[in-house]
Amino acid sequence: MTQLLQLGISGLALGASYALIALGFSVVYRASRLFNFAHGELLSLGAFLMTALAQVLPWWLALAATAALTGGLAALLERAVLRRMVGRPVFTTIILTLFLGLLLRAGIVIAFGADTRGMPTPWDAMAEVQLGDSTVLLSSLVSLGATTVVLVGLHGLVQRTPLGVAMRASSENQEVALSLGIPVGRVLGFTWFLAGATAAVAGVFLGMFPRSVDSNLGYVALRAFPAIIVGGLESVVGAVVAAFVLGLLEVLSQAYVNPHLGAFGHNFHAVFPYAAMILFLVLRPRGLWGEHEVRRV
Amino acid sequence: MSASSPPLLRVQNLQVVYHSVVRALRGITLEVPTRGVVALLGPNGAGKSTALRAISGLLDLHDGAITQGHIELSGQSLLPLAADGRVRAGVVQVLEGRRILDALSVEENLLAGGFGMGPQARRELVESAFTRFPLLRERRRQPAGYLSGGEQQLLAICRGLMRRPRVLLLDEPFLGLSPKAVGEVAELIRHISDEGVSVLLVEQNAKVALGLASHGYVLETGKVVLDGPAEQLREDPDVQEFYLGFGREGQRGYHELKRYRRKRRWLS
Repeated sequence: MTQLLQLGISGLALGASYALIALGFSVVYRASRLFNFAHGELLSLGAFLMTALAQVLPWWLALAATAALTGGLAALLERAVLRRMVGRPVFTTIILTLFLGLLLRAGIVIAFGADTRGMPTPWDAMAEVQLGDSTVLLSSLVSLGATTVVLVGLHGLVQRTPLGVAMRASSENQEVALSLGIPVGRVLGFTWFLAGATAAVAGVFLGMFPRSVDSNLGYVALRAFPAIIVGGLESVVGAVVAAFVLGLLEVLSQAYVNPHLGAFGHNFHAVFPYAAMILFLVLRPRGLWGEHEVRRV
Repeated sequence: MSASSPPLLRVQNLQVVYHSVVRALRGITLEVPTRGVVALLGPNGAGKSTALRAISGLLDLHDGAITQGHIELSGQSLLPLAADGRVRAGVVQVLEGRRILDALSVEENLLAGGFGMGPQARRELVESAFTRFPLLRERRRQPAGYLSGGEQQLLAICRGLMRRPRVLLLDEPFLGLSPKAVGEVAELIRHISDEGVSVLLVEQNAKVALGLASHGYVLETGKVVLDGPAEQLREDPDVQEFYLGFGREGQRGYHELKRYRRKRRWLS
């Protein structure tokens, strides 16, 4: 029981980071109808920026600056490169974002070197907190808490503010949004900014102990990919919920399923979300919450 | 239209090309006065929607471009402005086919129309839409996709009014509506016009349109072929025959109409 609670919290913390990644991926898809395969490298960039900025700024300020810089770069990529691809085949934009990802990755290695770094934290990276009988990493609790704050804040922004209404209007129908005087281009840029900023925050928390920051961190974004499919491409909320569930299942299956599979089960937990994704693609390709548009009969 | 006051909206010798090759407008000139309704009539493909898109700045989205001509709002050229700038200047288009944002609530649809305004003004205008149509207030939290066709059209027009436009461009607002809904939408247009908003009304339903308008233009294959005061157009034999459904000797039978269509298809 104590182990279950312990695993549950670290699973949710992992899921929280996946949720931030899935959120960014999903809002960009909804707004520009393209898969941003450079998303993982934005996450990696955020983590590296943080290791540098945290040396010179107070930790929370460094986190905010990291998010803002990464978000700014994402918005710049959209404006300078991807905006020109509007209306082109999906295939073209996929190749383009893959390429942008490679460029970013190379840029990161040039700027920060290829060495593995530890993510600085204002608290002791190994610190544990006693919750009843079980002990959990303080970092897990902080990342779970911070992510929840970010997610709730974004939900409020999108659901309750004029900017959020404009974002939803633009993603539902660009022509209508334009006809109403909504500056769709700038709204799109802001969407990319949010995606970059949340990716950076996810990168910071994913880089914390027990993991570390290296140039392969970007591949973690691919781990969040099943969440987007399972949750439904169209549904940001669905992707976030699925990300939490898959993070939880990943940690739990590592503890409870892997040992029973012998040599075969060595990395089963890493495969597990993809198995779930394939199952969904076969049985329910629109995901749990995808495409439930209101249709008048 | 009085000749003394300068027009609010003036379109001069406007030419529009789609995909760099398809000529949709071949130099049209039209004017919308400071008050009143102007009708723009014509068959499918005549260029009516293109004219509205050119005025509201939505041509880019359809890969269209203005190759010649001017569009002015009280003497100021609209051409340097993008779509959102033109809305701010006071030109709002209500798109064909209602285009309600289904996933947004009724109230959010209105709020989307008021993007960029102060919270106070936005609130007031949402309230004024609700006062106009209490039904919208009742359903303010419901997804707007649940409204009936007529209600959606009323909502779309109210949404277009959110930015207090000086001229409202309506693209076939009566399309696919029940006779009752047509009456309600016509009533709303009359009210808007009385409140001092100029209306440029694109319609195929010439009967309703000429009933509302003070002046009308008939567009065919990208050119204005006829224009004049609405009552004059109503009396025009060609307009009566092709747009109002009367033959020279009274109502045409359905049988003859079918023959006419078949003949046209052969010829074109």
